[in-house]
Amino acid sequence: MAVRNIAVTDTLETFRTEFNALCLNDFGDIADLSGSISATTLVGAMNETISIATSTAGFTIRDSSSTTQLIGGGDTLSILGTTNEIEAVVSATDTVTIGLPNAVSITTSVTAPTLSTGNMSLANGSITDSSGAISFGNENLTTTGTLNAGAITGTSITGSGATHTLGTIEISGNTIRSTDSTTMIINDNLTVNNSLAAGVTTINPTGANNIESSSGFTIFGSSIVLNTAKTLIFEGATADSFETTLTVTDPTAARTITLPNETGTVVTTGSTDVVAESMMANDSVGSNELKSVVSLIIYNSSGTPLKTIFGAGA
Amino acid sequence: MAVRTPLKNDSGNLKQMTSTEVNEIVDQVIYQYSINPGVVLEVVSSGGSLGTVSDTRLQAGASSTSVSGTPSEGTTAEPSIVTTNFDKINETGTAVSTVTDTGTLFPVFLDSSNNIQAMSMQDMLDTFIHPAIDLLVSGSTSTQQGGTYQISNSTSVSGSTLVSSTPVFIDTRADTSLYTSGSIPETQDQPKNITSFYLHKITGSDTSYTLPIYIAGDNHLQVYPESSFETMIQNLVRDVAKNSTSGYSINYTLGGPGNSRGSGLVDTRLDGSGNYQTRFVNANDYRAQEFPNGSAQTISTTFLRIAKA
Repeated sequence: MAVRNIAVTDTLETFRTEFNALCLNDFGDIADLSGSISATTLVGAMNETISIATSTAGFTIRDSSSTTQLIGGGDTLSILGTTNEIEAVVSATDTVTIGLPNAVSITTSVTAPTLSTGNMSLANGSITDSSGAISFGNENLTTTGTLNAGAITGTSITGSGATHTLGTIEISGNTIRSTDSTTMIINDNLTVNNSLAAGVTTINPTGANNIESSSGFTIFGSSIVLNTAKTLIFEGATADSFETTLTVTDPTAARTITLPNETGTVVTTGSTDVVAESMMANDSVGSNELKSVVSLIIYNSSGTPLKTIFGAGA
Repeated sequence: MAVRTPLKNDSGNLKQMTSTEVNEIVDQVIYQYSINPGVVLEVVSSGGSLGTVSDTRLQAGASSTSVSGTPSEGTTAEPSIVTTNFDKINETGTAVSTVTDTGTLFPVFLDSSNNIQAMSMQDMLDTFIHPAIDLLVSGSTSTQQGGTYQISNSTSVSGSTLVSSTPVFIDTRADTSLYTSGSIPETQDQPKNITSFYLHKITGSDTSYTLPIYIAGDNHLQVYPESSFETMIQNLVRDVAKNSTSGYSINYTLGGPGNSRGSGLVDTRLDGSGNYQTRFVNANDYRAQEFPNGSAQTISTTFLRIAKA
């Protein structure tokens, strides 16, 4: 509603339309006047209203800070909520309902022994508890955002979709990988109940083997050390109760046994009639290796020994 | 004196030779000697080093003549003896190689400690050479005397080779059939050859034998190479036969000590005192002469002898 002004130069028609608008829109239709008002003019109504207000005893309202306000007769008590904090609803008859809006904003904190809610939205993204623990009961916890946690403990952690990432650890289907490294590090013991396959090598594959390689052989890139009292056992061609064990007498110094660069069969003290002439190095057999050694001396005609030949005696 | 038993290769093993095998080597020593003797005899026209053997025969005595009558037997000269000396066998100065023991030159044997030792020079002499010399100088004329000599009154002797067709001795006697009274004065010496004697060299025999073991280079034991072994034993037996100072050189003589070789050089002669014959030519020419007569008697027999010296 604006101030209506008729300029000197305005026409009578302007005056008529402004006047009609003033009556209709600014002063209002008399028919719309409250029924409790008996006056039929605007001034009369005003006067009647003032009279009613001033003739009725009022009351005082006070807030927690002891601030008071006199509400007299004819006064209107406005009960106003704060957006997203509280809301007030006036309804018949003479009822004011004060409640919380569907969306509540609390500047500092809410203290409640039990909080039941549908969806809960946090403005500053923090839920804490003085006990140091927040329990979600047996409810599922779902987020499409990121879950940052110092520790996650649970009997089952599941997700939906093909790929899940914990930090730089990506779980996709049954594949786990690092998103920022080609190396996955497990900093503690690792127990695999079934097979563990790495490249061509499988640890604990199905069957009797503890380790096997699809290439048909396992290559060790470093030395193999059998710890104390451990041996190398060969099953042989037949899986039975007979095996061949390769072991050593307890070394008292660093020893090296070299297998020669050749194809052949290792000779042991249990071997019989296997040492061939070709296996003997030249000038390698002395008289001490001969059984019941006897000697044959070749003399010249003066009796000076020329050569002594050793042989096994009868 | 140390006779050794050499070792041999017995199918790759060392084994002592049997006495038979040792003797076979001795036979080979003889054969090697036979093809190149250390003591060689030759037939020369005269002046042979073995000396002289004389052949004697009777010749008619000188004839007697007279103008008055036939000379008596007593005044007629008796037959006399003609002597021909034969010195046709000569020992040549054959050069021989001296064998020196190098310590490993000779075959090996098993000593008392069952070690192997090379035979010494004395072992070689005692085992092979001296037994060979003993056989060579024996009185037989078989192949085991190969390379030595014998005398025969034939130019052909089985198992021997004629050294020369020139007789080394001729036994002659007076040919009484040539003397006739009608021819007085007969030539006094009208001989005839009774027997000619020739020098032969006995042929050896290359019999099989087993080569012994010896110490080769690098002191290895090795079967003695045949040619080397035979050269060695040939040089050794020749050297010993010619130069031994221990009584094993071979010495030939005519009529000296030792074993006779072949036929003796027999000198025969008629034993008659003279066959007195006369001839009347004319009244002023009466002749007489005594021709050889009698039976042939052996005057001497001289053998070619071989002995160790």
